[in-house]
Formats: sequence, structure tokens, C-alpha cells
Amino acid sequence: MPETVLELKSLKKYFYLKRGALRREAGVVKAIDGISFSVEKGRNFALVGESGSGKTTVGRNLMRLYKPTEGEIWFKGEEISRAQGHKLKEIRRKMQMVFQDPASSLNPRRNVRSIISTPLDIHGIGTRADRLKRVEELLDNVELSEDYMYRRPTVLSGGEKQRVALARALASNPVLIILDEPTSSLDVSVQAKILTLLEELQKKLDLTYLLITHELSVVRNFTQDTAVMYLGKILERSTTDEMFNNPLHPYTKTLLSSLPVVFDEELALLPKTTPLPDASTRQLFSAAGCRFYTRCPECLGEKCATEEPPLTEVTKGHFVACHKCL
Amino acid sequence: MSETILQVRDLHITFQLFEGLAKVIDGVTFELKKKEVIALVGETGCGKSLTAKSILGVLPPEAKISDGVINYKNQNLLKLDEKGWRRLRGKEIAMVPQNPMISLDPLLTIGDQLLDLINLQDQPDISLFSYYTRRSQITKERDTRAKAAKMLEDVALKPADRVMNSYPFQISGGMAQRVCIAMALSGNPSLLIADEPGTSLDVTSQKVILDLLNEKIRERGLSVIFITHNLGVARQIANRILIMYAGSVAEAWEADKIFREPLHPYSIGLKKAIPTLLLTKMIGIAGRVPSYIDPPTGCRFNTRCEYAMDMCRKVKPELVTVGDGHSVACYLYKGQRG
Repeated sequence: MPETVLELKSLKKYFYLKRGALRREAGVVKAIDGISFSVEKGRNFALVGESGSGKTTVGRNLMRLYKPTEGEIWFKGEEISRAQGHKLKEIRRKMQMVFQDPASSLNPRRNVRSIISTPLDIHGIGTRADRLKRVEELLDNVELSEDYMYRRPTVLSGGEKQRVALARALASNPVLIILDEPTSSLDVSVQAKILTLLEELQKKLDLTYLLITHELSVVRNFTQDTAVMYLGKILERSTTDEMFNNPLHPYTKTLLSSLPVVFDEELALLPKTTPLPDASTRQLFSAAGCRFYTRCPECLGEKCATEEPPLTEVTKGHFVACHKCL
Repeated sequence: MSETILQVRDLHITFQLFEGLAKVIDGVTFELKKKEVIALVGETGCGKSLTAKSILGVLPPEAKISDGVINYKNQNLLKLDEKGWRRLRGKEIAMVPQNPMISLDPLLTIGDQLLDLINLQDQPDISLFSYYTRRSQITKERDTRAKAAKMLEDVALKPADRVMNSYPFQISGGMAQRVCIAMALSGNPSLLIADEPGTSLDVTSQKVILDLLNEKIRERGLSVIFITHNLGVARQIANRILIMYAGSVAEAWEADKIFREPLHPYSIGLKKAIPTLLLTKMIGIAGRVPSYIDPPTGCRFNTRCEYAMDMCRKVKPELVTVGDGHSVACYLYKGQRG
């Protein structure tokens, strides 16, 4: 029986828009509207979707940087959606996050040593001398030499900054690392190096990654399970192999078919669909039906507009929320 | 084969910085034939945008073209004065900028920006001061609003009236990108420079924008220089791909062949780094891009190259032809001087 590291049960996060002097409630953005999935130990999980689909919000809720509106988060057998104080601190020690933009998530006025040892200071790990040794060890883990210890983020290249951010995440010996778009600001040759490093670290330190990204070719190469999000909901969820070989939801198919690929052999693997009409995804969603129906190329009409399709298991381990696929 | 529209030969661009003289563009050479779409690909800072900007004469003030020739329709662009450039920009050579949200003025409506563009394009000799003092009169006289609306409809932005009355922050990134494409096409240019269009968008919107661009390119028979760091996008849109590294062209070949059998060690490294759906192993390229202030002598890739020989550290290899339309700048291959 595989060990479940993380489990979400119908997690919701609503942001209330307030207006005027009395902070009257003027509307609600349902950034995450009831999503459930579980991450198993050693199996990397990918959360994919376009900008505005709520994938980063999920990551931030898991780290409890936001307070979930409703739902449960189970991490290593504990419910953490309402955790506070010491308990929350303990959770954050075991679950770490690498943020989207390494340039803005590292303090430019502090040197690499101080950045990496911050988690050690906060959690009171080791003595001063131990910490220095640990920073050296962490730098070695992310393949940076000791010379980097007293440099500041501004003199580092994008790939090096990402390595420092990763070393900081590794400092407290976490079991789960949330990677929010870890390579989207990097060039391909650097991206390949970072991904290889992540894989090596996973083997060495027994880690599990939750990858939040919009880059499907990275998902294909790096993860075992995938969930596709759209406007705060999961539309399709299965193993990564199944998702790429047999995508069912029209949205997943369009996402895959829009992928610019380099080799002709890849083109043959992609589904053929018509491109989506341009639409702003930042709408305040309130309609009753399927979230995707206004842009859907395979829409069934009435039913899709009025009735929200539930996430249903179609074949073993393959869940889809679409009336047409059932 | 059809005639050559643009020829860039041995272009060198330097930047005078506090730290010293940065030799950023170091001998870029390429040709663009009529109705051909070429892609300049390369990693951040390899000089692809800079090359494009030099063709349009919009280099930043601290940049200096120290050597080279840019011939457009048998006219050396580097000899032009500002007046000459203004006659060329928009009407002959136009550019779709990198980030549409930054390129559009947030204080003016889309309509106003289009009107100014059309008015100024038709009268390249009018000074900006005299234009702005008589702006409303010119706009009324020349009925440019209808033309602007038509431009927007041409890139499938409807209803054009509503878009024209919007400010840039009121429209989506995809729409802003369309506005920029409309602006670039407004003067009926024959050469279009597209600097990473669509990269700031989601894959689905990106695909729509690329399809639109493709359609316009074919419809109008444009010659295009497409700049991108996304190898997949380059492969989908271009006939020919030029791989750039540290300020010069490393290898150039037809788009469907270059990643199949790359020759230059850098191209080979790049190929191995691409994450594919075929689950090939991704391997990065060791080392980092050299500093432009103190670049390695000889081939600039020699510090990261596993085949580097003595020769590579001494003399910079020239771009030589090794096959049909295939040229590479590397001593491993003996070809004819192109």
C-alpha cells in the first residue's frame, strides 16, 4: 500500500471583494472551488492549468499562506487546514515551497549563506557551527561551490538563484516540496539542469514534489500523476502516462494540441482539435453549468450550460468532469 | 530562388558600460529571402533582440554599431539618418514588440494610439510638435477612425468600436497582442520583425496568436524575422532557423532538419535539453554563457564545448556552408566559405 503524503478533500478558497467605506461585500472570486486529490510518497504530482486557473492558490493554501475557506488538507495523517502556532510551524518544516520567480523570492540585501540558513534559524536547528556546516552541505547538494556563500542574489544568474531557492527549501529536511513554476523563467539548457538536479535530490533525500506549472512537456518528463485545473476546479485527473496517451476532457485535448513541439514524432502524439476562442479567465464565475462550456468545442448544449458535471472515475484511476465523456 | 530582401553581414554591436566595453553582437551574418520566415533562436542574452533592433534602427543609446553592413533592398541601413529611418519604419519594416502590455501606452485608449500611428505614418515629415498641435483637426479631416476600425477587424478584434474606446489595462493579454499585430501591419510593411509574440500568454492563446500571425504572413506575402527562445514555436512557424549563441550565429538550416541532425556542439546540447513528449532524457549544457566584457577568444562556446581544440581558443570560426542551405560555425566541419 503506497503511503499518502498529502490529501485534499473538497478544498475551497474564496476571495471576497469589498467596496466602499463600510467594506461592503461586492462580490466573490471562487479561486478554488472544491478540489480533491492525493499525492503519494515518491510519486510527483503535477497541477497544470492556464494563468488564473487557481493552481498557485492551491500551493499557497497547502503551505497555509492562505487560510482555506472550506475543506480539509491532510498532511502525513494530520488535518492541517486549521492548524496554528507551533503545529503550523512544524508542518512548514516538513513541507516547503519554491516560489515562482527566484529573483523576487530572494532578499537582495542578504547573502546566500544568510538566505539558506534562515529556515535553520527559525526552526532552531543545530548550533551556529552546525548551521554553517549545514549550509555548506546544502550548497553542495544543489551543486554550487562554497564561493557562493557570501554572494548576493543580484550577481547570480537565473539558474543559480533557483538553486539557492531550492537549497533554502531543503534546509529543514522536508518530505514534500511544492515547486511553483520552477523553470518557467529559465532557458531550456538551464531548465534541463535544474530538473535533473531535482530528480537526483529526490532519490537521495526521499522527497516528493508537487509541481505547479503550465509547461506540459515538463510535466510529461517529470511527474507520475497529473491534474488539470480550470477556473478553480479539477477537470481531469489521472496518471501522467494516461493523461498524455488518452486525454478525455476537451480542455485537456486543446491544451495538448496547442503545445508547440519540436519533433514530428511528437506531433503525432498530440490530439487534433480546433483552437479555443480567446477568453479572459479572470471572470467572476457564478453560472450553474460546466465552467468550460462557453469555450468548449464539443459542448452538448443545454445540459452543459445548466448542470455542472461531477468529477467521475471513467476508467481505473482516470477521473473526468465532463458530460460528454461519461 | 527568389530575391534577397535583407542581408546582414558581419554585424558587430558594442555597449559602453561602467565595467568596460561589452562586445555583445560579434559578427552576425544572415540573409533573408523574399517571403521567407526565419527564426532567430537562442537563450536569454544571446543578442537576438538586439540584432532585430539594429535592423529597425531602434538600438538603446549606449549601444554602438562598430562594424558591419545591413542591406535592405540594396540600401545600406546603417548609413541612414533619422529622417531616412522614419520613412522606412512601419512602411517597409515593422515590428511586433515583445510585451504588448508594456508597449501600449496605459494613458491613451487603443483608438488614440492607432490614430496617431496612422496619421504619422502617412506624413513622415511632419514634426511631432506640429502634429500634436493640429491632431484633432488632422484626425477629423482624414477620417482615420474608419481605417483604424478596419485594422482591428482585420486581426479579428470585434467589436472594433469597443476595443478602440478601451485602455490597454481593460483588455486581455491576447487582445493586446492582436492590437500590436494590427499596428505592425498598418503600414503594409514588406519585412516584419516579431519579437517573441505570444510568449507571455498561455499555450492556448499563444496558439491562436501564432495561427493569426501565420495567416497574415501568408496572406500578405511578408518576409519575417521571428525571434523566440521557444524552440517548439520556432519549429512551427519558420522555414529556416538560425541558432544564436553569445552574439553570433552558430548554425542555420531548414526548420524541419536542424533539430533532427544538428552539427554545432551547442545545437546538439540544445537538442538534448529539450523536454519532449517522447521521454528522451534531458541533459543540460554545462557551464554558463560567457561575460561579454571579457569573452573567451576564438569561438565563444569553447569554454563549454567538449570537442574544443587549440584552434577554437585562438581564432573565431566562420559560418561555412556544409550542405544545401545548411551552414555552421565550427571547426569540426569543413565546408565552403559562404
